Amino acid sequence: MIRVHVKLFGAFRKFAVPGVQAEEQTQAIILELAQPTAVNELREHLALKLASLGTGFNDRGLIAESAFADENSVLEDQTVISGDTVLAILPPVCGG
Amino acid sequence: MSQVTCRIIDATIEPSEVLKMVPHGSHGAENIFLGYVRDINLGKRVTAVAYDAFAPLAVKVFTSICEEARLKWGDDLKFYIVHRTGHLKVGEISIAIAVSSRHRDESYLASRYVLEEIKTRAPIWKKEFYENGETDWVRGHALCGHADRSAAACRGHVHPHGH
Repeated sequence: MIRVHVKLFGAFRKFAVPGVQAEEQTQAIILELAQPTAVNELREHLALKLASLGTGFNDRGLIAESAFADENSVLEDQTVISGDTVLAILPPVCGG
Repeated sequence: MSQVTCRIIDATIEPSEVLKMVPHGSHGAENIFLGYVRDINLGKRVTAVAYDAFAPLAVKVFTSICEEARLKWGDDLKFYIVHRTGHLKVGEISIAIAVSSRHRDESYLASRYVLEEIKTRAPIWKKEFYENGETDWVRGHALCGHADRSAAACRGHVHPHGH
């Protein structure tokens, strides 16, 4: 089983389950994958997981517009996650 | 100080601190951009905003953008960038970008480039608080995972996942 911690930012934060954190002030959820999975397929896993939490998630459009990243870069859709890791889900950005 | 300094902070940005960060003797120009929280957005009266950031990646993106600017306008350009997180009232500074160069043109161009790229590439999000009590995360620019992540490269094309 591959465990992927997904940190939640911006519009995703409100869907977190209290108490599950990747680090201080950063909520996360945990995806459990039965096999190596491409980043593009993680979106479906994330949508199902968020919908199962009972925290009101119903915005698949937001996930479609969002990217996965680690602390160094935004991951390309073809990147395969093959081991336990920590990622972030990044909704459309609005800095400045 | 290195040529490029980038920070994400949860504290007031002091313009006097920004002024101290960039110039050195060989540079005849310094361009400082300050971005403020505005009181109206898309016709709604805004009372405050909250910025969220994936700080480790945001700093790396800032740094990459500055390196791109140095390739375009000269490798002796110096940069200091600081972006706020947390709760900001209208009128507070959300971002400061300081660029210095030998001549003014490079500083103006690089400053504008850095700001526009940050808006579309840095993992930072803004939640607006409105006068009527409502709140909303501003839906900005979708990120993409291409080798060339500049705003120009990512603008206008279609991805399987919809952005």
